[in-house]
Amino acid sequence: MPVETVVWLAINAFVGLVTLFSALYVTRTPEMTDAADSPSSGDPPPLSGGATDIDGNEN
Amino acid sequence: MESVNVYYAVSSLVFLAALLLVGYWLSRRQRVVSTHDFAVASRQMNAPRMVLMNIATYLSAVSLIGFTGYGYASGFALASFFFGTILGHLPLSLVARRLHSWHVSSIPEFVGQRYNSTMLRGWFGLIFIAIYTVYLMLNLVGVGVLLHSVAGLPIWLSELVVLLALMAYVALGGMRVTSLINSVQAVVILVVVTGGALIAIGTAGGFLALLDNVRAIDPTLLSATSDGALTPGILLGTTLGWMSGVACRADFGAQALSGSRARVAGWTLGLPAIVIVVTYFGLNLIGLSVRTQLPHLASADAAFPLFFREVAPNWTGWIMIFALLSGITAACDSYILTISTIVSNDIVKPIMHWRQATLARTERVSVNTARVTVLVSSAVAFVVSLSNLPLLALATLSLFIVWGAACFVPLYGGLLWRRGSMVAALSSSVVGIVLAAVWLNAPPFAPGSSALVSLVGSLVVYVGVSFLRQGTRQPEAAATQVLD
Repeated sequence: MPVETVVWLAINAFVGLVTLFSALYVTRTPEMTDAADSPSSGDPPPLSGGATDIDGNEN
Repeated sequence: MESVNVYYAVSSLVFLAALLLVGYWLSRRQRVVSTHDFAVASRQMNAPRMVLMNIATYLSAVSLIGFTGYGYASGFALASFFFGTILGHLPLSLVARRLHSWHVSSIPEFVGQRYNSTMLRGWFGLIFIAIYTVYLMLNLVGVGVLLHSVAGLPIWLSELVVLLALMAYVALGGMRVTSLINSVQAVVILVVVTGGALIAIGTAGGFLALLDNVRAIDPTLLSATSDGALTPGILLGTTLGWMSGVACRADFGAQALSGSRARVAGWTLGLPAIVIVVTYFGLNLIGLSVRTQLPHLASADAAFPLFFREVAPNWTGWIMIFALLSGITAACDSYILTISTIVSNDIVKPIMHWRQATLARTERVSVNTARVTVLVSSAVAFVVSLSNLPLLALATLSLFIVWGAACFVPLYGGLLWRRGSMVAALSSSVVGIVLAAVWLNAPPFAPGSSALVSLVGSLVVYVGVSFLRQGTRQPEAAATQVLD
């Protein structure tokens, strides 16, 4: 197998692994994760009325 | 006229009937109660389900056949030519937490909130509706051709039964049921591809023996650049084009938004990339195996089905059909789900708010609109796919280039840069589309340059206009809170 092919396959695998570990890294901290999901995280108020069900109750 | 292959035809119809019944049963057990629930399952999904849904959505039957065919025709050039489809997952992975922190139901809704603009939300909504409608039609064309060539079923019948099989569970179950079904289909696809690759190696007498057989047919098949035919300029263009389109997939964004925690979004956007790398390699081996055994096929697209009919043991034929049908339905249902979500959440819902409808009425109308859109989009795609338009010509890099040119800069600018303004986002999107469309039709003096030109142009406009204009106070404050 030509060297260039081995290199390209290795690059593909490397990028795939970097993608995985990057995603896990940026979502890594439980405190940050909890803070992002909590109501007091500073998320912008939903401009479209938020998540409510068909009967008008909030989800 | 092709004669019907009773074995494959019955297998296909049994699979689709089971899908219809199981999907409908699941939908009845898990009732959709809001647009948020329809679109992102009220953000209650776990990582395994969303990762598998992501994989199933990406590995459509068109992908299985197309990548195997490319491996048949061009060998390991698949690793370089489609590298951008892997790289496109990286930007998504980097913004996984930021994206998940916006409690929205769709990518256009994020754009609308980030830039405080209903118009921009509608603009992105229309772009995604157009793109996913084209992709739905492309997949239906692929469905028709595939089942016609493999099972001898009429093209129109093949497309119709596939749509009927999935419309019910998409319309009634939304993301919750669609993701569950897709996760099972992903397992089927991965098992078949892995098994196929192992069979390809085994029938050749080993991996090195397979490479020797390929070298005897055509040594350039072993080259990742087809012995230099894929120049750095071409590869740069293809990489940027594929990358920018993949990085802007609204269905991937919705899958990340469906996670119960940011870490679920991380897994959803991070793990599929390496799985797809392995899958590409497996499909490549299958394509090369067919090339050594059937070196003079009229169409490389026949490589995948013929592998299971001519190379693999006979009993694997039905598994191949199930894998292809899984890929077909997983992609189609995801595209239909995306289209119906955007129509209801990003077109109808803002209109209802503008008309000052009550929240309850808004949700009722939006959910019903989503269900109706499932039917309408399926019908439109069905009719157009039978009209002999050159749709397959669109299933190329060109569509991804235009897609990325329209969405990449404003989307990621909005996620990563607090100074990005609404006007900058809209103008960069329009400029990107124009540059991509013009450059794609320009004399090919610089192959692959359209992606580079359109992305750079879009970025320059976005940054320049943002610096020239001050964003409004509200979006900056909102963006600052999240971007901090």
